[in-house]
Order: sequence, then structure tokens, then C-alpha cells
Amino acid sequence: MRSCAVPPWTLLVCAVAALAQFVPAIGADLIYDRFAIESGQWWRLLSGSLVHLSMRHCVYDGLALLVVGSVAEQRGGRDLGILYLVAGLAVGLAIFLWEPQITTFGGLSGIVTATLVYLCLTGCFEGGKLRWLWGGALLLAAVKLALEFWLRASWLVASGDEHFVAVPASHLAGAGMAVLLYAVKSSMLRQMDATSGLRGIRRLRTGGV
Amino acid sequence: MSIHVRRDFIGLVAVAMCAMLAVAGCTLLRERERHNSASVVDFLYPNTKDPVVTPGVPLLALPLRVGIAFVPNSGSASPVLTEQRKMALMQQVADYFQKYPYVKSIEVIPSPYLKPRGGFANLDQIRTMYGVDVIALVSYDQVQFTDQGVLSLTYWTIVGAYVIPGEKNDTQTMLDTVVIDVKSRKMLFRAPGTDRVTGRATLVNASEQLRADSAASFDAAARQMIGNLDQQLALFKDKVKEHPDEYQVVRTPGYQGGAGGGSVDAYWLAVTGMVAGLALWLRRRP
Repeated sequence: MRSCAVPPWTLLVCAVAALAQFVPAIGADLIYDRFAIESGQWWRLLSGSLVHLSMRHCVYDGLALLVVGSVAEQRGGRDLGILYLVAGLAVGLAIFLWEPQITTFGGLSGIVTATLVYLCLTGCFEGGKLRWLWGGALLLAAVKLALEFWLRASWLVASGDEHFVAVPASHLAGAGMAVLLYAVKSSMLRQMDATSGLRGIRRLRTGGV
Repeated sequence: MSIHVRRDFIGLVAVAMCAMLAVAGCTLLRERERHNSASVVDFLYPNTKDPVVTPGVPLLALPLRVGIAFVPNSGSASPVLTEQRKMALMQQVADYFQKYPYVKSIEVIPSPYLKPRGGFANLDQIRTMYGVDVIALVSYDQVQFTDQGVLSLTYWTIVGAYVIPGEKNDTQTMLDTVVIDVKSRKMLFRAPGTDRVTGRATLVNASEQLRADSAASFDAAARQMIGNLDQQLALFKDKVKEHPDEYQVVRTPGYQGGAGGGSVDAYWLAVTGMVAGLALWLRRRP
């Protein structure tokens, strides 16, 4: 796979998140607002992840995405734009369906989780002697997800300075979407390999090269 | 003994047995009733001579600090709910409230802190002691009927009292949570839960079975009540929006009601840093 010197998708997402943070009018139009979504502003399901509820919230989420997204794109994740899109939508839908008491939501961490899981899955199944290291990172992510659901809290929120509740469903939705996308991509690649293999066999039988 | 005398004797014995069974039946086939309740009205308005309390306009400062307590049993009957059961039921309701961002804290208040017929004066004491804004008062009413069916006639054999389930039990329960703003004396909303359990028992384990039915019925009523709390809370929120003159809602600085955040914390940062480091290290490896 060809790698990107500059991670365009990650930079784009981080730039929009920063814009939404520093221009409140844009943030207000993009934030996940349950009542606005119910009245037809469905784009907020997707764009809600780009808005943050405090500066610290924005810095933590943006920094994490910048690091993990850049690495993923540099490792050849050219389809990361699709991952960001479907993960953002999955996060919004998950909160809308499973967390009806959440009226306002923001935060990139669902997308960060999706990117992290996708990167680890790619590392695990690419082969190589060090695949267990990727597996270990995947296990750490799974432990974190389980802890969040068990304790129903995040350490950032639990510090008491943030005035919002942690929403572990957003991380789970992101992780689930990464697994799904990876499974679909792997399946498509296998089918393509099989098709190209059959063509080769047919060519050999017909005497072609 | 002549045939006539024998017939008369048999007839007499038959009449005597019928009379005995009828008397026994009247004695055995009786209905028993156990009634146990704790009423919110009895607790809040103990003295009917007092003028009716006029509620004010509640000022709800979000996020709210909520207390939850069982109304004390006003009657002389032995209470069916132990303190342990009450705490468990209250914890279920507390867990339900905890998920809402506009609830800052939930205090489960033990029964000894509430006096029978304590009224709003008692609630004011609780408000000061626990620092709560609103209080959820849980009251209950449970009636248990025991009837003896035809099978109870086998109790005459003694063994029947141990093995034949001749007791028919009927347990009817109502649990009710009333949420009150203590300062304004205004009821915000209420949610009931009801249940009915029927069953049979032998004479010997009748009281044990009644206790089991009582506990099961309380559990089922609590589940229904918690479900109703969701509906009533949604209706209350609509009511607050529609009638701003009846309810004042203020937000304490920094509070973002209903706000949820997908947040990356130190753990996520450490994992992402580790994964990024791993990827860079693998890239530089020959």
C-alpha cells in the first residue's frame, strides 16, 4: 500500500474540529443536538463528533486523533476518510438510539477509538513476527472499553472539572464500525484475490501467460 | 338389632358427620387478611386541623441533589419490609436517577431518619442534614389474602397439613414514588407500580410462602414503578417547558444539562501514543 506523506483526512478532521471550537457559531450548527435532529437537522448525527464541550476536551481528543490518524494514514490507510465518515455517523446514531437522555453530545473520541482499532487490526492481520504487539494494543483498547461500561465514567470526566457525562457508547460504536469496515475490506480483498487467481488458472489452461 | 334400629343408627351417624364437617368447614374455610401500608399523605399531613399547605413555585437549581427515602409505616402492624429490603429497593430507584446528567447526587436516606407523621418539618430536617434539593418519597400498600380451599379438609388427617397445598394466597402490592421539592412544598411528579401474585401453600409453610410472595410482589411492583418513572419524568420535563410560570429552572455555573462527551483520557492517550510509537519503530526497522 502506498503511504501518504501528509495525512490529509486527519488534518481535515482536526482543522474542522478546531474551527468549531474557536468559532462558536459553527460549533452551534454542527453539535449533536437531539431536539434539532428530531426536527430534521440530521447532519448533526455525523457532525456532532467534530464539536467539543471544553477546550481541554478538544485538546485531548484532537491530539489523540492527530497522532493515531497520522500514523494510520502514513501506514497506507488511504481509506481512512471512509472510516472517519462511517464512524462519525455510527457514533451519532448509537447515541440517538441508545442514549435518549443525552440531549447534547460532542467529541472526537469515538473516531479516535475507531482509528486505533482499525490500525491495530491491520497490524494484527498483516502478519510478521511482531503481530502480538498489535494484539496487545487491541487488548488494551478492549479493556478500556469494558472499564468504561463497567464504571460508566471516563477519567477526564471523573476529574470533576468537566460538566458533561462520559458516553461509552460512542467509543463502542467507533470500535464496532472499525471492526465492520475491516471485515468488509478484507472480504473484498479476498474476493479480488480469488478472482485474479481464477483468471490466472484459466490463462494457464488456455495456454495464455 | 332390628333393621329399623340399624337404619336409624346409620342415619344418625351420617347426620352427625355432616354437622361436624359443616362446623369444621366453617372453621377451616375462613378468609384471612394482612394489610400493611405506609402512606405519603399520613406522613406529610398528619394533623388534619392544620390548614392545607399551599405550595410555592419550585426553584430547581440544576444539577439537582436528590434524596430518596421510604415513608415510615404509620400503622401498628408489623412491617413487611425490613430495612435491608427498603435500602435495596431505594438503591434501584437511585441507580435509575443516577444516569441523568441533571442529577448531581443521590442520597439514600435510612428509615430511622424519618419519623412517623413527621410532615414537612421532618423533610426540612432531612434537607438540612443531607443537603438535598428534592426528595423522592417511596410509599407502599400491600394486602395479602389467604383463603382455604376444599383441599384444606385434608388437614384433618394431620399429614394433609404438611403436604396438601390447601391455602390459596393472593398478594396485591402498590409502590409509589412521589418527588417533592422540599423548599416550595410542591409535588413535582409521581410514579406508581402495582403487582399481584397468587399462589398456593400447605398449612405448615403458609406464613413462609406469604413472606416469599410479599417479597416477589414488591420486586415486581418496583420494576414497574421504575419504568413508569421514565414516562413521568419525560412528561414533567414537557410540563416545565410549557409552564415556566409554575416551575423556575436555573443552571449553576458550568452546568451543561444533558451533555455527553466522547472524551479521550490519559489511558487513551497512553494507548494511542504506544501504538504510534510501535508503528514508527516498525517503519524504521530494517
